This record gives sequence, C-alpha cells and structure tokens, in this order.
Amino acid sequence: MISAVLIYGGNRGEVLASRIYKDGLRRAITDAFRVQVISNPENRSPLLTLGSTSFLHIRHGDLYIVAVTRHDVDAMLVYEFLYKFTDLCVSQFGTFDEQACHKNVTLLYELLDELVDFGYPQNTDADAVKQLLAGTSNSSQGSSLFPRSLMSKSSSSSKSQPTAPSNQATQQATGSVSWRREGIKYRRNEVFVDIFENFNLLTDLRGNVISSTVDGKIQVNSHLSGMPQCRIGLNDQSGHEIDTEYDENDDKSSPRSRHTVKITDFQLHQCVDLARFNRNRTVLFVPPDGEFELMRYQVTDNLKAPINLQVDVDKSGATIHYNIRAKATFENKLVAGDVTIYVPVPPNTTKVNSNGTGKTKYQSSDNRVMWKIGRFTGGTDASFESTINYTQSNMPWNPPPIKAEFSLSQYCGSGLSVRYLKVEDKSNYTALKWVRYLTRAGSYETRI
Amino acid sequence: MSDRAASAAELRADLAVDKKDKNHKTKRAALRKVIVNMTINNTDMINLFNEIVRCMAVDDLEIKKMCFLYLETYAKSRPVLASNALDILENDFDSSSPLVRALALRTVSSVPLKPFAELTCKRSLAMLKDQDAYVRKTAVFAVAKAWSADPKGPMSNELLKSLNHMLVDQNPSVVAAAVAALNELTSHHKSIVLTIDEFTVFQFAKILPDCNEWSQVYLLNAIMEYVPQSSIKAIRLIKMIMPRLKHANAAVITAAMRTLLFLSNYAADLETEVPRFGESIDQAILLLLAKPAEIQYVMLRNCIMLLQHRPDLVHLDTSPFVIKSADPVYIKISKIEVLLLLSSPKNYSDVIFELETCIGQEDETTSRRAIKTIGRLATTIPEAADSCVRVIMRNSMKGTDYNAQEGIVAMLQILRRYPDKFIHVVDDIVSLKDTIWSDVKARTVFIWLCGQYPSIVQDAPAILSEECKSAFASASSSDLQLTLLTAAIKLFLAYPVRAKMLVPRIFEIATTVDTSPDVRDRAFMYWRLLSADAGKTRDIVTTHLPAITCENIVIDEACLEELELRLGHLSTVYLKPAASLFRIAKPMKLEQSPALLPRLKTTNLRKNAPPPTPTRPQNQMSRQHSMMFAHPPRPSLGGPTTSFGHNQPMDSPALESLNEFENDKLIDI
Repeated sequence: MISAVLIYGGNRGEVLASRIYKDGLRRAITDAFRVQVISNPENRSPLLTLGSTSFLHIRHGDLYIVAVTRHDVDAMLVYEFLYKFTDLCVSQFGTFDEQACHKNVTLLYELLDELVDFGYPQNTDADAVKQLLAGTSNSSQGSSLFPRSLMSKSSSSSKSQPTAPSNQATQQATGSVSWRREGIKYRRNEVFVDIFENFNLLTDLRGNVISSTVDGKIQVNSHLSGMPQCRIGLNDQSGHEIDTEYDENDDKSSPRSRHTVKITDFQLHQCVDLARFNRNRTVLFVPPDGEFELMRYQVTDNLKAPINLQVDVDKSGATIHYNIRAKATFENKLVAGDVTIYVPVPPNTTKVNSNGTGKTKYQSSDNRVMWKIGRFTGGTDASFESTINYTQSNMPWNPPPIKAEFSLSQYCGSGLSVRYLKVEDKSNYTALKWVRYLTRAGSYETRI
Repeated sequence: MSDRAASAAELRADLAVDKKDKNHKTKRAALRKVIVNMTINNTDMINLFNEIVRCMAVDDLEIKKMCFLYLETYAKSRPVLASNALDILENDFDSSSPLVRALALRTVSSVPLKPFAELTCKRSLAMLKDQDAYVRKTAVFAVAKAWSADPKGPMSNELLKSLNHMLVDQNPSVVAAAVAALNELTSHHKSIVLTIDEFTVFQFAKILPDCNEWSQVYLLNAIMEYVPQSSIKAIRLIKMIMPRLKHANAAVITAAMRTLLFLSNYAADLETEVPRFGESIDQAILLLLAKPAEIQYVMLRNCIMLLQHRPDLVHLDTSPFVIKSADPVYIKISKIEVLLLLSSPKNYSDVIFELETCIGQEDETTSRRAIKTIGRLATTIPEAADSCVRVIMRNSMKGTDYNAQEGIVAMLQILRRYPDKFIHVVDDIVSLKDTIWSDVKARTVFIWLCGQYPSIVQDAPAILSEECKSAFASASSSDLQLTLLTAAIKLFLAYPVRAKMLVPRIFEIATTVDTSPDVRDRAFMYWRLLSADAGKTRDIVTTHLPAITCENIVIDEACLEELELRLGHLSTVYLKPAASLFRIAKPMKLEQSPALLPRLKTTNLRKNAPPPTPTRPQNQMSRQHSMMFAHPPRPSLGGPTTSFGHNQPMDSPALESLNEFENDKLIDI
C-alpha cells in the first residue's frame, strides 16, 4: 500500500515532513519528487511512475502532499486518504501551510504515525484521532503544552470536553461509532443545519443551457448531549412517503416547501445508516460532536438558473463590442450578494471602455473586465456595455467563457428543503434546531 | 533550508541536560530540532544516537514518540547503538495504557533490524490476544511486518496461522486489519494465496456497516478473494454491498464498485434480481466524477476501461464529460478520450462541438489532442466525417500553427479512410504550406500529398526538389525520406516531364549520402524498376489505395478483465496490465466456478481486434520484406495495425498506427 508520505513546501520545494512506512525506501527518495515534479514545469499530472516507484500527489495551497508506493495500489484510496489527511491537518492546525508545518512538526509526525500503519490508512476521523493524540498526552505525566493547547483551538465544542482516558480513546477508535465518544454533555442542546449549494451552469450566448448541475452539501453542527439518534427529512422525490407526523414544524422558512426534488447522487457521512437509507431513503444517524458534513448530493433535473445572462458580442476588425444583460430570476424578496461578472478581453488589449450597472474595471493582468453588480435584487435586471480595442496578431483570439460569481442566502438552487429534523436521546431532551440555506455560483459560465 | 539546520554538537548538550530541565522543556525543544533536521536529511543527526536512546527513558510520551521516530529512521545506520533501545521498549510492552503498549509494538515492528524483528515475533503473537482492540489491531500489522521481514523464517508459518485466527475476532476493525495484512502479504508473495470460505465472506459483508471507512475498503477487497459457487450466493452478496455505493468516501465507493462488478460475473439474471444494479453503478461513477480533480482523473481513466468492457452495464451520456475551461490538462485529455468512446452516429455533433471548444485554448497539448480526436471520430463514424472535416479545416485555416499541423496529420487519416470523398480540401491544405512546414510530421504528410495528388498540388516538383536539399542533409527522419522518395516517383509517373530533373537527383542523393539502409535500398529498387520497365513500375507504385479501416482504442479482453478486477488501481490509470508496470504484481483473472457467466461479446461498433501491438513496426527489415513479397497489395486488410504501412509500404507516410495507445504520452504531460 502506501510506502511513504512526503510533504513539501511549494516555493523552494523544501521537505516539511517525510514519513517512510515500509518497502525500505531511502530518504533520498524526497529528491526524486522534487526534481521530477516540483521543479519540472512540464509535469502537470498528479501521478508519476518512475521505474516501479509511483508518486501520487495533491496540492493544498502551496503545499505538495505526496504518497509514494512501490506497487499497483488502489489510487482512489490513496488520493482520498491524502485529502482526508489534509482536512485533518486543516482542522488541527487552523491553516495548513508551510508555516503551520514548521510550527507543528511533531504533531504532524504524530498524525502520520497514528493515521497509517503498515502503509494502510487506519483512521481519519477528526474526533477519534483527537482522542488518540489527547489520550497519549494525558497519560504522560507532567506534560506539556503540546497537543492539548492545539486541541483546544481546533474545535469549538471541546471546551467542556473531558480528556478521555486512554482506553476510552482506543475503544472509540476501534468501535462501531468511532466518530463519537460517550458522555458528551451540553447545557443547551442545539443543532445547526446548513445547506450549501454550488450552482454550475454552462450556457451559450443566448442563455440556452448546455449543462447545469447543483452540487450540494448538508453541513451539520451538533451540540447535543448523549448518543442522540437524529432523523432528517428532505423533500426528495424518490424518498419514501413522507411521514406526516413530522411534517408540521421546523421549516416554515424553507424556500419552496411543497415541491419535491429529484436527487440523483447521494454520498453520506459514515454516521448515516446506509442500509436503512437504501431501503426507504431515511437519513438516520448518530452525529459526531461538532461540525461535520452529513451528505453531498447532486441535482441535474429541473434547475432554474438564478441569474441569466444574455450576451451580444460584435467582433469587427480590432474592436470587440459586448452588450450583456443580466437578469435575477429569483423571488423579489431575496437579494444576491457579491454579484460579479468577468468578461474576457484579448491579451493585447489597448483600450477598454465599459459601462454597467454597479462598477466596472479593466483588469489587464487577468485579461478581463470585471463587472461588479454587487447586490442584485430578485426580479430586476442589470446591463453592461463595453468596447474593447486591441492589436491583432496572427494568433487569433479564442475567448474563454464569461464567468459569474454570486452568493444567495435563504435560497436553494436545487429547491431542496429540510422537512423535519428529529432528535431522540435516552435522556429525552428537546433540542433547538436551526436551518440555513446558501447558494453560490460554482462554475457559472457563458461560452462566447 | 539553512535557517533551520543545526549541528549535532549544538544539540548534544540540550539533549543531555538533566536536573535543571523543568518539564523537559529544553529536551523537547532540542528533539524538535533533531526531527526538523532529520526531515531535511541532515545526516549529522545520526551522531546523536546515544543521547536519543537515553531520552527514551524519560517518562513523557511526546518525547518518547520523537525518539522512536528517530530510532526508526536511523536504526539501520547504527545497528549496535539501536539495540540499546530494546530494554526501554520491552518495558513499555507491559504498560497499563493500551496506547503505550501499541506504540511500543508499532515502533519495534517498524525497525528493520534483526533483534527488533525477533522481539516483534516474540511479543506480537501474545499481543494478538490483548484485551484492547486497538492493541490487537496494532499487533496484527506487527505480525505482518515480522512475516514480510523474513517470509522463510522459522516462525513464518506460525505467524500466518495466527493472522488467520484474527479473521474471526469479535471486533470488526481488528478483522479488517487482519484481512488488509493478509491481502498485502499474499499479493506480494507468490508462495501464498488467500482463500476465504463462504461463511467468512458473508460474515465480512455483515460487519461492513460496523467499521470505519478504511476498514470497509479492506473487507470489500477481501470479499473479492472468494469465488461464488452459485448465482444465488453472488446475488445475496451484491444486495448486501450495494448500499456502500452511497458512502461519502471515494475509496469505499470504488471498492464497492469493484466488488460488485466482480460479483456480477457470477450472477445470472442480474437485471431481474437486482433491478437497479446498472443504474447504481452509473450513479456511483457520476459521484466520483464530481470529486476533486485527482479522483476524477482516476475515474475518467476507469471509464475508458468500463465503456469498452461493460457496454452492457455502464450507460453514460456525454454530459458529465463536458470540458470545462478550469479543468486541469490531464482531466481535459481524459475527457476527450472518453468522449470519443461515447460517440455514436446519434450524438457525434455534440461530441464534435465539445472537442472544438478545446481547440485554440491556450494549451497546446489539449488543442492538438482535440484535433487528433476529431480526425479519429471522422474515421470511425462515417456519418460524422463531413462535419469533422469542416471543423478540422476551419481551425487549421484560422488557427495557430500547431492547430494546422495537427489538422493536416488528421486529414491524412481521413483521406486514406475515404479515398475519394474529400479531395476538394486538398487545395486548402496546400495553401497551409508555410504554416505547417516547421513540423516534421505535418511536412511528411504534405509531401505524401504531393505524390498522391500531383494534379492538385501545382508546384509539387518545386516543393519536392526544395525538400530534397534539406531532407537528406542531416539526421532527418527516415519516414520523411521514404515518403519523399515515393512521392517523387509517383509524381514522375504522373508527369514524367515535370519531374524529369527531380528523380535522378533524388536517386543520386538517396543512394550516395549516408542515409538509413532502408532508404538507400528503396531508392535502388525504384531506380532499377524504372530503368527496367516504367509501365510495370506504374502498376506497382500507383495502384488504387484500399480504404483503411479504423477502430477506437482497443484493449484486449484479458487485459480488460484484469483492469476491472483492479478498478481504481494505478494500472487502470495507465490502462496496462499491472505486471507490465510493476515488478511485484500477481496477474489477476476471474476464477472458474459453476456460476461464472460466459462473457457476452460486445455489440457496439468495435470489432474483435487483435491485442495492442507496439505502435509502429519496429523492424524496418520486416517491412521491407513484406514489401518485396506481398505484391500486389491484398485487397482485404487485417487488423488496424497491419492496415497501415505493411500492405502499402511505399505509399503513405508511416506516421503512427491507428490504435496508438497514448497513455504514455498522458503520463509525461
């Protein structure tokens, strides 16, 4: 499986950590990757095989996070592990960059030691790993500023948390609910549900849709005592008959509540009972403590673009003339924020004359005109005009697409909404429940 | 790096500091510096071995962990000093804290020295029975490490046996660790095999939901070591595994998909028994295609395999493969490849549209690949040929140099595939001469055109004699020289007067200048043919060109079968058998059983094609032989490799074979 994990800083390609697990790799292996990948601009692939040795890497900011292997490994597993490892470092260090690696070098090695044994990923659950590391620092005497000080800033909920004795930590790590420990207590039981969606859209000049998808995720922040069983109901079309007993409360504010949505793809956090989900689409789970991603999903059917662009481009000689109309198609009471549209211009542009609702600015280093509408109220229009002069070269200009950015709260691009959320625990408390929706532009492009 | 480098001498005093060091603050800081220097390969650190071993005795886990890391790293360089650490480690084995016990065992088992391996053997077997599951799990891997350190050692049988016992441990994580360890050992050592009986396999499937994500992957892999003996059993397993396809972890999804596809080979009437089976696989693929780029990449490469191997099961349309401007190059290129496989007489216009958006973007690799693929689309789907030619020519005419170069190379294939249909574009190609001339491949095609269409290429004699000067000058490509030679002869046969000067000159140069033997031989042969009988020469050289047949990239069945069993592995990214890439790789195939279904032959436009042979004829001599003896060219053609070059050796430039397998190129982009 994984023979070694290496971490490099991007600028100078300095090795920030190298953990060799097996297969007798030499430490000089770190040079091979630096030479062949980091300092080689020709290499643009995340996978490189030299002889029998393969390097699989991902990027995080400036960092290169690399797995080395000698065999025909499960590449999917390796990449997924590198991503989980990165997430874990982010949650442990706050930010995961060169400086954080320097500062936390011992913790970094502890993580690498705890996450992988014999080259096999063992556990990447933030909570379980935290317990394992905290457990060690607890059982050692008179220690230390070390992991504990780092732990406390990593999670908002851990203030009241007792450090688990070491055998509880090991039980959690190997138990069937590895993501949650026993005996969590909150004075105020609350659960926050955030539905984040990325609206991906590709249209032609006239606004006809070439492809559109919504990538959504449900993020839950649970501050709940005990071992609660939660059940969440969505207006998912293929879901089982909605149990009316739950349908009365919780979501008065939901965007389009009677509507159902056809969700094609689900990915569920490991706390969700998958067999149950497969039987009747019930999302039943014992949540980890604190923040986690309950599910990801994708919707492709019946999508209505929240912002429509209609583009007129007129290319004549060395002049390009744009005329763009943007229309906010969502409800009047909502307002989209940070609405910005990027209009491409040729690299050898000499003069730009633009005018539009809000602000416009020519950004020569990015070869584009930024049209910043800012706040954009539902049901209204905005327009933009620009004349661009450029020097023609023998390389004809093939324009990249127009891109748009926006964020829209209390709106769900897919129309998904939470019908109910039920929390049950032995101690029978009532929990406060909060639901929020936010839709942003993912890759929101118009081809010209 | 220099700002963090430290010398052993500087750190020695700090590591040895004893009384005054409250809470070991100084030691800790010094150790941290040691770790940093170790990371940046400062070998001076090896000189601190004694000090580090002494630090291990400090009762502080952070310090211990840092010392252990040092020990694992440098033990091999100082074997004698390293064994001083054994006593300290032995003490830890009896600690009351399971974490300390596990840490000690993990460390001892990771030091590649004999005394450590012996201690591992001695203690790990006992620790397999520890009451703490975490310790047992660590012991499982320790046993595996001990075994692989010395597979033929006296203890090896006992070690394996004890690992087998762990397959029935009551804790699912320990079971998963045991199967992971056994899988690793058996896949790297030819002498042992992992077989799992029916009871155990169903047990594995049952405990799947009770373990963490990684353990699920290891259990799923183990399920593939079982060969279902009846269709009912296979279907029962499939139903138990299906829910895993919805997991958030890409590795779990892939492992589930791999296992399900494997089991489906043993499940009759799958469609009626598990109605949404194919659909679930499709959805899982879509899920993975929405993940980060590297994961998408692995899935895209696997799509190339699945679309060829499982057209019965996997039904995807082109929309997930729409090329986005923000996609990294390796994603774009893989998408282009998948789009070609998905193209059909129904959707070719969508595919061409997608491919055309890649042309002329800043990136040359993508642009070239898109044009090449449009050319290939034209040759595989006759309905699409007209549109393809239009797009290629449009982009060649307006586009950048490399677009025109790639365009003309693509046009060669199309002209060969549809000999009479596209003669009208030759004129346009000729007008591109100056644009494409710098590229050898494109120039070779141009010269071929001069010979093939002497009536259209007006100044062919001038072009050829110009080229004559440079083509033989230095170490030029012999493909170009051969093409030039043939083109000159064909021109002469068509217009003897116009090429009167050219031919003798080319003969003289080709037979006197230091060229490759093939070029010289061919020149002599033409020379003698012409001097013997010009009429016969015409019959031989300018026979009617048979249309070539073209196929999509094809991987042979056995390889596809193995790739499917390795879905998601590195070999599937390269689309090659694992044994051809990695030193230690056992070949895999579907094991026989009464339930094994015969594989349905694929019913799409791909025919049974021979296995991918090396991309071009390696032995020039053999080409010459076939030229000498295979006259006149046989009208019917064999597989795609032979269709080009062998039967018409004197005719078209041997640029590349049609089923060229381009993964290598992909790797080094």
